[in-house]
Amino acid sequence: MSVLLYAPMVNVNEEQMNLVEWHKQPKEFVNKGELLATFETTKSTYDFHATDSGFFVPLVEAGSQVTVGEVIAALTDQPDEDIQTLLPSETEKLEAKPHSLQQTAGNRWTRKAEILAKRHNVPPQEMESLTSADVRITEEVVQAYLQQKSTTTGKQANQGFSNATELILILGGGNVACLVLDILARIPQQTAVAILDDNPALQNTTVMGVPVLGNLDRAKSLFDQNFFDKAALAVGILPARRELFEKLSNLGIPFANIIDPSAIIGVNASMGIGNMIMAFCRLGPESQIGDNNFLSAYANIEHHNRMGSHCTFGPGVAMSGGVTIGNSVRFGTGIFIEPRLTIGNNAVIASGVTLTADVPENTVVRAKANFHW
Amino acid sequence: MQSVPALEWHLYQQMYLIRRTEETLLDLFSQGLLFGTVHTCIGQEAIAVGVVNAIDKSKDVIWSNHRGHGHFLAYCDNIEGLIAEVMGKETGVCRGIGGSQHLHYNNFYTNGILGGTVACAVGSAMAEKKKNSGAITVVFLGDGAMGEGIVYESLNMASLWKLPVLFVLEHNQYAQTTPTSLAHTGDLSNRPKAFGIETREIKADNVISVNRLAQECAHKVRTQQKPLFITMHTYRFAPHSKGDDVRPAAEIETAKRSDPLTHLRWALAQINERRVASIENEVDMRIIEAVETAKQQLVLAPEMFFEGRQP
Amino acid sequence: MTTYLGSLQLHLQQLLSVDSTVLVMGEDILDPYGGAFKVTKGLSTKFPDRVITTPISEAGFIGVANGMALRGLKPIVEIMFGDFITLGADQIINYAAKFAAMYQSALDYHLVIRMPVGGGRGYGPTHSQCLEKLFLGIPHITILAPSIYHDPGLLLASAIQQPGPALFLEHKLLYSQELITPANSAFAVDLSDESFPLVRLTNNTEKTADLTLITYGGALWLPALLQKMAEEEIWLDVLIPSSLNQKAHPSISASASHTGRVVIVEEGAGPFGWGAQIAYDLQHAMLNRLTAPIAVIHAENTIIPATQALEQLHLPNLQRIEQKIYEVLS
Repeated sequence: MSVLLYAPMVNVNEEQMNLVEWHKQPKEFVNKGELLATFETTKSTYDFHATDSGFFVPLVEAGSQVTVGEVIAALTDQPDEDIQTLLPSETEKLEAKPHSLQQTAGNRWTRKAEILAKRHNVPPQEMESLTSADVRITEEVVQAYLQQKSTTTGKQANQGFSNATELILILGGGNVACLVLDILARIPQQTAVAILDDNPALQNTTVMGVPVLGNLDRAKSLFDQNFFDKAALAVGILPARRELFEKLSNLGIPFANIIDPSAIIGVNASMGIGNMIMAFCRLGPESQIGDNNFLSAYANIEHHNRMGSHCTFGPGVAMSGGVTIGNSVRFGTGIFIEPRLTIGNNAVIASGVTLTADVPENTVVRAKANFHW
Repeated sequence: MQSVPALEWHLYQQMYLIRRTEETLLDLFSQGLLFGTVHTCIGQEAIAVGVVNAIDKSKDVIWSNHRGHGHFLAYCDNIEGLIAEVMGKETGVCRGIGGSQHLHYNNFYTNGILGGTVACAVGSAMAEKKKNSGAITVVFLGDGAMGEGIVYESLNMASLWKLPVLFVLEHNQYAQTTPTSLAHTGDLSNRPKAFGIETREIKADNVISVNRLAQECAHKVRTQQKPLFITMHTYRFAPHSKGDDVRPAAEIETAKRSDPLTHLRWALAQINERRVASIENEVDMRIIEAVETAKQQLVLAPEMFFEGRQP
Repeated sequence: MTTYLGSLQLHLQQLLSVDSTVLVMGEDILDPYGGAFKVTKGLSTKFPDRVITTPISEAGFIGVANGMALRGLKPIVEIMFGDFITLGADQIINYAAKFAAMYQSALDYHLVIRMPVGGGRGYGPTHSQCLEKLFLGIPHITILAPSIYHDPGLLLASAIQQPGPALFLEHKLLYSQELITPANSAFAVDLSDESFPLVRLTNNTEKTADLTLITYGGALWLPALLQKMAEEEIWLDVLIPSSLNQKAHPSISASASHTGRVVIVEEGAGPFGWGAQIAYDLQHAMLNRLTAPIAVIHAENTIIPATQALEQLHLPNLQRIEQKIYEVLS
């Protein structure tokens, strides 16, 4: 009976081996037991002897790589016999593959798209009807759909509607970091990933569960590693706040605005980057502030106010309309400011002041009444 | 009156030192000054002293076991380090961390798990052979340890690889509370023969004869680079550890009649009673001082142990 | 074009030529056979006095290795199948792992016990296991498991050069595979700087990862998983440490805090394994950053069957990991 010959298992660890040479010519009659081929594995060579007698039909070339179990030759009863009937059919071959992965090309949706849709309660039929049948529904498609469906109100103080979480690196691990973490705990779209601080005692500790991973000068390398998206300066005093902001901005590190959800941002109000706005603050309509300002709780920047950058506020500072404030101005606590005044760069307004006149640059204004006992 | 060689004075002094140290430790235990237990070798001193003084202390390796104080003292005479160790103080030879059963000093090692030390000893011998150091390894084991399979694996390898190991079986007829008859079959002293290992046997009531035999065997092991197994018959007068003695009192009393110290003491006292007393006195004083000093010392600070174990 | 096996062979040759205190011991390791998985092939011919064939006495010869290590030699012991390590457990746990600490001495003691581990070849219940969990948590042993993305030979050299005992686990299905490096990898691969490095893989360098996957050792399902997840737009940050019981690499918690979703895969059986500890450490460090509970996938809680179809279901496989990822993302 004509038989097929298969590549033998020579070494338990190897599924592939080299068929080095055939020792018989095609159509030559081979007797059972005669040396027919030599295989080579990574460890050794192996002599293969004919398991039957017959006319030799090689089906792979000498020198080729074969897989264990692969058909390598036939030994036929008659010379020039048709061996097609002996060979396994194509369908048999496919079925014989034990480890094939499920074909995924057929799925309409990518899994990611499915998961995203489910998360945002998007009815699948609606999405499917909106896209043509041959287009695979991807994450991008779902996101575009969601974007279109959302309303852009001033309430969403964080810029843009994004499904991705913004990862924040907090610079400074002291009490201000707690303020920042407190805000972030209530904002789903921003997450603190780490804190940097120059204080050696803080290294390898955590602040409210967030690890302190090194000194401030680590920020650049962490940014280059895509460890975070934006930084937040948990520093409330000048000149440190301005200096750090400028130094790190020069290194290319972007700063995030950290805004408490209770803050009210009015219509057409705008701000730069790196501002920290604590609870119950208000940025009135048509007002503008620059970068890196630090507003403690209950600050009111009134309508049509203009403020520069790097200003710091104690709690409870109330502006009236049309006030202009320069850069690096420091406010104490409990301050009231009458309308349409101008406060120059680097001015200091001490606690308790009710401002009724303009303040030139570099001026310190103190409250008239001081109580001492 | 025949003169007695210096060696015998030395051996007596060592046995006495061991005896008194062990008795002191048992005493300290009763006073509640020790933490954990002690396994004393009272009655078996001739083995430790006889064998350890037959080898080259400068380079030979010793693997001992839980009942290792005698071997330790015979090896390095460090009463102070031993007592401080057993009292858990940082001045102990292992800073109070290993304790009675886990001692190490120079080429002396022990561990508290029976049987495993025999394999380590075979390894030490192999290392010394490969380094061409000329050192041999002595391993002390008890009849109880002869129950562990690893002992036989080790005998096989020691013989197969022709390693310079001197196995010393301290056969004291009991493994904890179990007499040999309930634990072993056949003849323990003949088992090594199955591995082609030469065996010797001796009753260990005379430290001089133990020492002579040990010298002969150590020399053979060193020069022929092959293992040798000596079975030494002995008896321990004190319990296995503390408070776990179920042996009949009469049996213990009978055994004490072969106390290796008694006979040698008697012989030496005939020569020079005063010298014997002086030796004993010196040892006693040394032990008292070691105890008093150890009492004053501190335990290893926690931060030294738990964080970065720099010795 | 180096295979996992090739790297081990090469570095063993180098170790033996460069350091005369290194020696190799184990069962059936002499030429021409060269060991059950051929790792020691060629060594006994070149270094006859330092390649020692042992009787079948795992407890005994690990003990012998301990004795040699204490006397200044550096034995690399081969256990033929990792399943047999149980026979030597006492010498590892009560001897090797304790010498330096209990003697409070600066012992210059070096020992590596290496062994093939893992299933997938139908060798059956006692020749397919990953038993490292028995030793995880025993203090003072280093446990290493190089993956196909690590250089196993280099790690072996580091292991024998550092003091203290180490267990070195080689997944047996990796031997014939070519090592994957940044040069030939289908996915972005990154190696950290330590001597026992962490490998980081991702299936998308531009997008942020959706999920952190932590695993070690064989992980044969990994390339297929990365591919499949890429097709499904699920971006994975895969972290593969080579050392199982040293302090966790900071990249692990960093990645987990980024993604908030973690799946850990280990081949060891049943609960109470490596993954459980990693999960504990993560939730402890960053509970409020987790969006979903951490998932751990391990082999099923029974013996590894010999029959192929059931073995595939028993060990962590592509389908199970995939499903778990979808679960965690949902």
